[in-house]
Amino acid sequence: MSGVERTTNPAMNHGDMRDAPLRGRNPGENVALEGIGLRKIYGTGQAAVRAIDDVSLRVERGEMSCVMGKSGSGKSTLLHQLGLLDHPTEGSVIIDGVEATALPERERGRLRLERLGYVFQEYALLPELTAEQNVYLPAHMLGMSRQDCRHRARDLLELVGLAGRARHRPGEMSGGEQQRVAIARALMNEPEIVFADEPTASLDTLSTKTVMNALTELNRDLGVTVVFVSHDPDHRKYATSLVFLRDGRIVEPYF
Amino acid sequence: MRLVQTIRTAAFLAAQALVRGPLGVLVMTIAMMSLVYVQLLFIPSLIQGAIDQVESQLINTTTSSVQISPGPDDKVIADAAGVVASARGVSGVEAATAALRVGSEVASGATSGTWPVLATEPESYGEVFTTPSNVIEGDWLATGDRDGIVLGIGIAGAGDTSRGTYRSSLRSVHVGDAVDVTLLDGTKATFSVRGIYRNNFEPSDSRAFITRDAAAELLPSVGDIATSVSIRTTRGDEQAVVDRLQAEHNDLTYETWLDLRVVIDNQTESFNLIKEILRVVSLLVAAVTVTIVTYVDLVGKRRTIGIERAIGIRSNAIVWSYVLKAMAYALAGTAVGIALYLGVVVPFIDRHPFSFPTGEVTLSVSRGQLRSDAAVLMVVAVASALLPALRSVRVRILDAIWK
Repeated sequence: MSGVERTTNPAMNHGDMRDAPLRGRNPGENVALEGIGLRKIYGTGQAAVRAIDDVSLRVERGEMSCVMGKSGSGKSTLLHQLGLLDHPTEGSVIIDGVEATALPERERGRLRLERLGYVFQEYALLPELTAEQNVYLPAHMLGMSRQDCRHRARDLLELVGLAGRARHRPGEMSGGEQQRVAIARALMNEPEIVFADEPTASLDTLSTKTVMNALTELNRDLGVTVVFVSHDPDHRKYATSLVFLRDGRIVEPYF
Repeated sequence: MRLVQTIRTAAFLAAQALVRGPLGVLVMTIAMMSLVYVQLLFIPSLIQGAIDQVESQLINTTTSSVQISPGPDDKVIADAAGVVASARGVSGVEAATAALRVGSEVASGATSGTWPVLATEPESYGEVFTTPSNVIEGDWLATGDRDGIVLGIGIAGAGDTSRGTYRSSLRSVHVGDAVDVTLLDGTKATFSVRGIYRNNFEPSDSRAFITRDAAAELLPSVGDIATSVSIRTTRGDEQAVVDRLQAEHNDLTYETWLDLRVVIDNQTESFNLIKEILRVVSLLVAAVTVTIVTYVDLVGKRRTIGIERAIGIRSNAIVWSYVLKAMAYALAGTAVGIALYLGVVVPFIDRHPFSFPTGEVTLSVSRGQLRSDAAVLMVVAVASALLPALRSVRVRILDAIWK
């Protein structure tokens, strides 16, 4: 994990985000993320589907937590609620002691930008930007100078083994390469938690290994908390903790 | 600070989308914007061209730039030659001529009608008015001609049954025919038709002209009097010329063509009304077209917007990026539109003018209109981008990415 260190750039210090009222309720506690009584229901009446039902879990700082389960078990839905990409029907998500589900969308956006990173199932890169620009876009939004953006993006691309692809656009890269660019982008603003939703679902075996190794290294070497979803039993070897879902419920809680 | 960051990111996203987006879409969008701009300009400037044409006709054939008439207590201008001479010496005056109304009835055989018969100096009249160059049959009067007369098509008729005034004219008078003129003192004189003119302007096509020499011979009291002195000035100098002339002859009545344009007010008011209606229609067409283009662009970018929001790009930055893109399209479209309009459309119409009842009409466009239409296109583009962009960032993030 050489080449990338926690930056001292003021734009990356998230000073605003650390101010009250977003400050954690229990600063001493080593909990990065907590979901309490999460429930997500799609549709109404007879057509209502409970995608997740009364799910509670806690992720400690520095963990690499894997949410596993069969297709349709609610893994992605759970990740979306935890990652503030969606509103649960019931329950709350607490990030670093802050009840994020109670925040207005504007503040949730700030949280996503400054403290969370995402790697999506499909290569969710912006097609008009180069790999380097895709990586530094979140920092650009935070006001980091163009030069610093580029330096850090280059370092991160080097970290994921794509130093030579900085100027390539997503359409010019393989699926595995795009997913590694997405990992680099997720790290750009030095997030505390990275959410990865089946990051290897569309990849071949070799690319899968490369991507999972990259996630493991950023967790191990940079101390970033990682929550990832997978349906591949082999992936439990990368995790430090596991959550199994069936029919929207945790069947084997890890705490 | 947040706003600066928002605008900075929006500008970055917009610039990348423009530079790296599909070239065909960029070209087609700018081409469409430029056509919208041209269509916004075209009809109003055609109608303005028609208005300008009518005003030119009024000045060139009827009122001149400034018309001097007798003072309120007089029937004639006593020292016409003196007024003309002093007018010619005034700065801003290009030419001046005097006219005396000597008759009011013209007859050909049993057919007659009431029309003004004016005694003029043929050469100086041609320096102020374009009527002498609009002769369609025969020639304009020559100095010293004592029995010749030139008739407007509205009097002569000349067998042209297609004209609306044919039935009230002498119907089939041609060059060489004799007509009788009843002079102001009641006497009648016979003149030989030297020429027939057609200005394509109703108020000036029903006049008859003889020379001052002919009038002096028939009416010895004519002397140096005139019923009007007409002055051609450089456009825009009319009032200044009036002010200078008034200093020398303050007993006369001065009117600029603007004071006398009442004869064309109905026409220009109708033209202006049509212009405003078509301008509103053009604006609606522009607004709908730009909205469709922006909406289609946004629908195609739904997933991109979802990803941007998911990674924390502020909604305002996303909305601004589309607004900035629309502004860039509008700016480029305006630039191309101006080049197309001034470089191709206007020169083409200059070479192939439209035929209106009052004559040939070309396009008339002012810098002010170019600017105001550019501003209108910009406002329409911004509004058209803003509304669908605001809607797009309100969709659930996951719906935007996956649905």
